[in-house]
Amino acid sequence: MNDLSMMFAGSWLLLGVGLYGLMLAKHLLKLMIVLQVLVKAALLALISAAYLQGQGSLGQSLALTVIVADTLAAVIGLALAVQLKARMGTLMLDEMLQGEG
Amino acid sequence: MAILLLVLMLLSAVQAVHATRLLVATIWLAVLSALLATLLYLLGAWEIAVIELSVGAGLVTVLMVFVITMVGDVPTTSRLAQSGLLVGVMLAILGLLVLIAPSLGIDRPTLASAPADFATTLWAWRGLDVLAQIVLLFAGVLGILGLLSPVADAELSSVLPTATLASFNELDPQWQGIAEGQTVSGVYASPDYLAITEEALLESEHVS
Repeated sequence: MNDLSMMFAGSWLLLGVGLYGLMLAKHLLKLMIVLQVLVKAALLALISAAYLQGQGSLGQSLALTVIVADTLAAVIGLALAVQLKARMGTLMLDEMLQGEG
Repeated sequence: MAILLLVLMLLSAVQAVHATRLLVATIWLAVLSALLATLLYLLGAWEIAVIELSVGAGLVTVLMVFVITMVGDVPTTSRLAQSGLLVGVMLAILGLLVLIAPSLGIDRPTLASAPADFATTLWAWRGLDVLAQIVLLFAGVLGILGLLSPVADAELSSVLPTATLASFNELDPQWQGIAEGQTVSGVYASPDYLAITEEALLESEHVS
């Protein structure tokens, strides 16, 4: 069991922490932070799996796309949060869902 | 060294999830990004380590701080979710299974193509990915412009009438004495609000 296998297993633990945070999050911006944690877990799994197979450069090329897409998703999520705060006055998920009822 | 980094990453991830204030959670996220970048560098993925450090610990952190300054830092208390812990434990067990997989004799398929350096792979083999990234970037920029432009404000007001009407349920005392021909501006000029004020004025006239 070398470092790479340990990193691959560690990405599962990071995914577990991310999913745990997904259940705890009550604020929209906290949800954005938890999303970033989840994507970092996926990134670690991708890179360590690629290096385990000996295809490091291929894994890095795919990881580049993942980083770009994840950053864009975070940025658009933040812009949505700004607009939602202006419209609804709150970013707490419970209060936002109550307003629709 | 790698195990130490992994443990520190997990600790900072847990702290980011449990932090009461959003700014503190953002700082822990930046720490997580920096640790991940160091780990990726140690694994040999130098280019991705640099990009992850600059984007994760730089761009995303600064953006989050911007937005938190704009919307306000509301301290939230976290509650221990029993089911969340179960998910965490389950995934930890899965991780352990992955750890002991080599000793279980599970064969891993190997790819036949010869590995090249990062630049050749990115530009020669995954060129379409780069094109997709460029398209994504432009789509993201257009999306941001569409979300944050002044025109969007007016359009969103018409799409979410309940939000704007709810705040005008009770007549603002400032506008109770609207005289005919008096101009109003901004959101108070929306037809829904003017209809409500007219109705309320007529009612008050009837009563008095």
